[in-house]
Amino acid sequence: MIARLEVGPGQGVVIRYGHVVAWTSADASTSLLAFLIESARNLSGSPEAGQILVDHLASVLSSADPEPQVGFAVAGPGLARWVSLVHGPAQGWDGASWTTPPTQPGWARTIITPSPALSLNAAGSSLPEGSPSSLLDLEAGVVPGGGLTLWPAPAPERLTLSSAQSGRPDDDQAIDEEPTSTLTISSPGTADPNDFESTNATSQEAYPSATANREASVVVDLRPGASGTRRLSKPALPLGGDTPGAPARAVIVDGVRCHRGHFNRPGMIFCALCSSPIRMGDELPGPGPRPPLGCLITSDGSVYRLDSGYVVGRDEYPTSDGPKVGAATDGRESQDGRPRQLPLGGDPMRRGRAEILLEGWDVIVVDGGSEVGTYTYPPGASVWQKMPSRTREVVAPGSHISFGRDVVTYINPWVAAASDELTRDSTGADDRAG
Amino acid sequence: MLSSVVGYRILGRAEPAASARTAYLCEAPDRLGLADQVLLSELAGSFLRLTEVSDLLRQYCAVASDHLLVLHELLGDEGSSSLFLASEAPSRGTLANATIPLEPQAKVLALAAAARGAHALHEVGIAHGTISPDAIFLTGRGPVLGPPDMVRPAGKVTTSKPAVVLNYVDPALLRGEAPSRASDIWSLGASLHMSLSNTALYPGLDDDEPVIAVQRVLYSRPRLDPGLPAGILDVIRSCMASDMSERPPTAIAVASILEGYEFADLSGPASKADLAEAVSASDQTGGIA
Ligand SMILES: [Zn+2]
Repeated sequence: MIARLEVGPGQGVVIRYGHVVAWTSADASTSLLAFLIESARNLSGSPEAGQILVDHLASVLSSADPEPQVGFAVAGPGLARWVSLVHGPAQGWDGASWTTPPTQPGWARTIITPSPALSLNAAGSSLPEGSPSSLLDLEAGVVPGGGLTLWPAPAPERLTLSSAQSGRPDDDQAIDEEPTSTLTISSPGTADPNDFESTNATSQEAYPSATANREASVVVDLRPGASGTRRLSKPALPLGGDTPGAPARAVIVDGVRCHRGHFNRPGMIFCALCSSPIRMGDELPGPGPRPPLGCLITSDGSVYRLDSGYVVGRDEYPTSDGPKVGAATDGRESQDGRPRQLPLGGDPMRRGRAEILLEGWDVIVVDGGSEVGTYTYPPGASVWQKMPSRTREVVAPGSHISFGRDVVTYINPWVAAASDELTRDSTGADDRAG
Repeated sequence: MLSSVVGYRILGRAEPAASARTAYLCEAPDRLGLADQVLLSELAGSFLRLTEVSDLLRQYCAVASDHLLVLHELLGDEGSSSLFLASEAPSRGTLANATIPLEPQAKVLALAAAARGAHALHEVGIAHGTISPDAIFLTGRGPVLGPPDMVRPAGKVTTSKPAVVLNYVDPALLRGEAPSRASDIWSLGASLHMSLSNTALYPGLDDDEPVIAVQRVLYSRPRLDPGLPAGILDVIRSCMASDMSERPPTAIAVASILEGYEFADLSGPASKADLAEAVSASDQTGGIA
């Protein structure tokens, strides 16, 4: 949806991931900056990223505005047109009208029609001197700048995630491909689309053949009084907002708390649970039980929670090289101590299984040395990156990960870690001790 | 011509609940000693998982509550990629696909019954995790909550294909939390909204690609229909509070509020007894096939 983005001179920071752009003044806190960067990265693939981000910001700012004096602005595609949110001493110009926030509440969101371009910069400053014929273009990233001007693409793009495409990222054809108005992130695997379709489709047969006109070989009586039915000895679920079944061996990490006591990743400026602001400096990061780290979305749309690591691949028909119960590290153990499997649509990965681990606040992917390999596609990337065999990598939130024909997307609510290094240093030991 | 599945004589097709692949209305085999038709649901779990799934279902069956679907048998056939669950047949379909017109009051009471069923599960340590109008069955003895999805792999939260399913999912589950009382209460609130209103909780969600749909639910707040009665909106708003500690503490608290709620315009059944009557009244007209 963005044809070109030009960074203007001056003080501040310009951010672009996918179709989301943002500008902040130079006095923005690291936390605010990190929040905007991570939000843009997380939403970069969405055709309505602007709407989601602006709605989210508006709901956060409605409850509290931690940095009212800081100028910043975000913009991106909305449901039908472009939307923007301009905060504090910042302004927006769409070629026809200005957006400047009122004193109260100190921010404004608008629906805009760039004609022909949209500019965001500091209130009262001159427009970035962008030119339609210029070749300057920020495709993705975070750079210093006093403002930005973007030219939308003439025809709307639609970003789709498809794993049914063939062609590895290093194939010659990938380089020769004509740019089209449709950006498709495709798996580097070599699946045949029809094959994929058939391995993923749920049974659409009118009637299941194996069981048609046959007796069942096993019948389990579930009626009251049948042998095996019994009252549970499990305790009732905890009340209210208590986390159910709190892991007996919680992994301890450093984090910060919002005023309601929710434990957040260090550097977060807004609580991921209640959206209330977290004031930096009020409290130093301290230890606490790590919350789950978001979810994985597989090619077939299944959503798996990241409160545990996973061994990648189907193991419904166990093989001798399958994972051994109890042999896993903390990072891939579920609460019952068994390594969880991430069943994917493709063939079982019988050799060299990849793993997804939780370490500190990070999600790690470990290539298992299989022939198909493991590829990652971080937010803002334009090609799949192949992991060297048997290496491990921290995965950025919003990344796609490919295991053969299957693509998994990692979504993480714990955005904006300003003190990442601190976190990582202090949690490695805890992980092992946890 | 197919006439039976795992020994059950098929009378017709039925609308499968969310966790089932297909469903049939069947004649009960003699061993069950039932005069009524039964619902046979095909679950997406292979024969190798029969023991595990039957253990989970037995826990559900041991819960004493009149607000849960009655299960009869779990059946498996060696080599099959499906398991079959025989249960009481919902003579009037589900709250999502009711075969009779339901007044708003009847929908509210159906949600109340489901909340009571959920509470009974919670009290013995089971979080449902997949409450939606699809999982609320309208039986001859009143609305009941169906069993949780017992065949899902460990760690699976939901599906995002079709994205409409995410309308009922507490964002906490997408943050990676395990299902809980609070997340089931969110789903009850969302089910109430989706049953009573024609406006979308998340505009655009139904057409979203899976990844976008998950992000939409995770990063935005649902939009409640301001046209709903204030009392109902209050219940939905509290059930769907982003801070779990601000939601009703138990599902039975939700049930109590809903049972006490009366629409100003009482054009429909007004009490639980009336609802059960309405639901069972036209049982003669022939099932949900
Ligand atoms: Zn909080």
